[in-house]
Amino acid sequence: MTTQFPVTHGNLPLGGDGQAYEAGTDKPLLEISGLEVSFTTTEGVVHAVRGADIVVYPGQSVAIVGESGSGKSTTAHAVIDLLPGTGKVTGGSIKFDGREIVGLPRTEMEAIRGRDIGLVPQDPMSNLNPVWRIGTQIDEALRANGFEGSKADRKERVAGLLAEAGLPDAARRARQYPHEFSGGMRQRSLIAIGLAARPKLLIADEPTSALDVTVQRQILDHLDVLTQELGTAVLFITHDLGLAAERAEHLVVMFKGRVVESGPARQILADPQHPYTKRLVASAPSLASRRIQVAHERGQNSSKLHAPTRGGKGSDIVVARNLTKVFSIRGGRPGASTDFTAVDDVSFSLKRGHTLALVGESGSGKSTAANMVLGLLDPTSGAVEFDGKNIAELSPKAAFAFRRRIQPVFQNPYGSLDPTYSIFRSIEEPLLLHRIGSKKQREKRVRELLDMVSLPQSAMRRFPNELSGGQRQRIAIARALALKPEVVVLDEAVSALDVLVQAQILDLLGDLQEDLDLSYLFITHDLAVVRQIADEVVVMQNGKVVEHATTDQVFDDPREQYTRDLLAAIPGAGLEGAEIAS
Amino acid sequence: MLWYLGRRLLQVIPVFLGATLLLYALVFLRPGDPVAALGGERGLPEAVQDEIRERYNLDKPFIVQYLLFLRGVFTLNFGVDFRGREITEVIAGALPVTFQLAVMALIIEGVLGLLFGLIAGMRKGGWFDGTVLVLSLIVIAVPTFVIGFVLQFVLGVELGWFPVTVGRDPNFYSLLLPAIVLAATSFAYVIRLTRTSVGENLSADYVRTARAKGLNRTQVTGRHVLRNSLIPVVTFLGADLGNLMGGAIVTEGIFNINGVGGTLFNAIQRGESVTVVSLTTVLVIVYIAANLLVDLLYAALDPRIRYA
Repeated sequence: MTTQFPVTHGNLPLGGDGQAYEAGTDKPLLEISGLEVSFTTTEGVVHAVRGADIVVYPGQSVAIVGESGSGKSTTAHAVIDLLPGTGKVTGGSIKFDGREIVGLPRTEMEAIRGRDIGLVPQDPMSNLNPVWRIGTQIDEALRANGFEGSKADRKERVAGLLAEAGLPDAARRARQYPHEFSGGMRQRSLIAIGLAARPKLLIADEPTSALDVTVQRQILDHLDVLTQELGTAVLFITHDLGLAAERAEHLVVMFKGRVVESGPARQILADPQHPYTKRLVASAPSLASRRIQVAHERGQNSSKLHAPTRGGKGSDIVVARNLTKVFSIRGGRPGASTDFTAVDDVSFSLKRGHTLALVGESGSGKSTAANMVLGLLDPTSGAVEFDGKNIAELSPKAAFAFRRRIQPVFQNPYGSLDPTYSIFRSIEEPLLLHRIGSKKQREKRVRELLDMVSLPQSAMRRFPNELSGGQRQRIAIARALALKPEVVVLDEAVSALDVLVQAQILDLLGDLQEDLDLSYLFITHDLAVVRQIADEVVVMQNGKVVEHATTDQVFDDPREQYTRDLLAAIPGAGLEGAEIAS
Repeated sequence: MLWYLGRRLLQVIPVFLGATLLLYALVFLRPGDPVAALGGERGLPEAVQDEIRERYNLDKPFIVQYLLFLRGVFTLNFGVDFRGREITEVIAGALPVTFQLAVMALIIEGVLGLLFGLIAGMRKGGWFDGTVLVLSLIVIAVPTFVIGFVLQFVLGVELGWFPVTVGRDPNFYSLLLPAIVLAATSFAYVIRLTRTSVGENLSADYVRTARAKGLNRTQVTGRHVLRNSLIPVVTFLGADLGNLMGGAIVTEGIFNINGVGGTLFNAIQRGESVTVVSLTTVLVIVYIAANLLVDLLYAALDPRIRYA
């Protein structure tokens, strides 16, 4: 693990404070001082960055950590003069290689971009133009930055760059289009673009947060090696403290547009000074899960003590028997359709009052399995039994009643709430559908539910766009609980949330489970979260169950290589040393 | 790509059959007896009426008439109208000038609409954008015949820049003003569509990535904004070719052009069902061909379509 850290740099920071570098022989490559960025909206001016100071030395890797809205991405975009919309630098200075770049004319900035400062953007799905070949898009980066050479030369160079970014069979790949690439392959292409002109500074803006953990790890490892070989300085933007600490030697923590703390990564983790950093360190799932797990065990022990008082706890409520789902994929020519087995002979059981986590990367079939459990998708073969009955054989009336007893919460709280429905209407809708109670009773129930998910009752007259992501997910949970279900299927329910919010929602889910005796089927790609909430874990890969064990077994003694890979890929997993425990 | 083309061509068959059957049924079910109406006030003797019915196959069941009509379409022999003219000749006389007019209008609205829309979209909120938005709204709001008469009067009669009418002998120059009038409304739509599309693409992530690569503004606009913005506009233009062909009645009337619009109008008035159906069928074919072309262009512009 340590081999990936660029530890022996001449310009290692010495002091605890970020700016207290020893002058050394190197001059700073990037010097941001007192930077202020604001956006003009219909509701007035929003100050996104208020006086940020960040220094990056040549060859150094610095990570800016913060939650969404902290101004970390805005700061990075200000450096490369690509602020979105009405964003404007309103104060302070950005010096690159000793030269002031704020307010530089457009053509001069164009010359700096690509050649001096490269960018690896956040979302590989949207950052490649779908209508051009991958090779063409890399070739553009070469030509724009003065790469002289014949067509054949450039072709060779493009293939070389792609191979360097870790894409096998690069020459053929260069002729393909983005939609033929997986997310990981696209991100590798974007790295090739970012490094095409050998910039001195590479800005990596959450470069892997849209990718699966194992892919994330491979790509970050590769990026580490590449930038070290090329001596490129990296400004790394991330919301994940564990990831930042693992990948950068120096951390800058931003909160509400300000730099609240900066210093060597390990020092910040071991001894955070600012209250926000302390909270962040405490709730980073990758770092904190062990401690929470200990608390979880304690909680479990206490719940085991009064377990006998709970009737039926421990009996199976949902049983999946040899579930198989085959999709037929239309091919490019008639009759060329191929069968794709999304879920292959999967069996598991969820005990009443327990949490079962289905873990796997995208494409592992975990969501397809969840949809079959919800009865939203018919299995090709096999069966789902709910409370002892096969749900496929229920009469229409019984199927309707079944829906009351099992409810979903989906990943994206922005997409799963109708923007034209008030919060009240969203939560009331299931009650209305199942004709439960009078108008007054329904309103009372909605108020109760809002209390349950710790939202003010006044929220019910508002609309989803007036709420934050965490609040919306609480609404989605309230809606799922409206019908007093016995089972809640949480499909990546916390994956889109910031760490602090994620921790709150997980706490809420834990409390609700205790109070309402709920059973959770928890679908996630994030093992760190699993450790915080699940009793049992089912690890899926390519539609098959590869490991099924209790959470402790999976974390302490994983049997399968794939599970070990997943565990190793948790960012910051390697950092769980003495210094953090202290 | 070949498979894609083949599949699209196969899809044309049910569309063609469905559209013509519907057309034929509509005209067939039209109230009133065209043969009886031929005689005017005094009426024709029964024997003559029967003879006419037999000659035009009007005594046969609906489905037989339709099949006979289909045979006519595929052999390019639509038969003769009540006045004894070959319908194929009637179409041949009306179609070329309308087609020329429609294509000219399409080029005008396509090229200028894209250009104006691109400039407006690039500088959203600027003076050019504002002016174009207001003008396009006016053009959309004012009916074609008003625009037509005003332009005819100002540019044709008063200033004498363009011929006032087209008449029997249409050429490029005399058709220019009618083409502008015909294009006006769609032109306004193309501007607005392009403007929105460009605006969306400008804030797309891949455009930012392109800028981060160090591309200059011209390169970013040409390679990443324009091509992606073309996709919805091309769809609109393709569907519009059909509208332009069929919808030129007003413009053809104003500028005295003997095209499809006028011929169709007269045929409907005289109750010449066969002429109406034949002409509309030709329009259906043009429509289908234009849409096929759009789909192919679409696939050329957007590689994701090719394999879908």
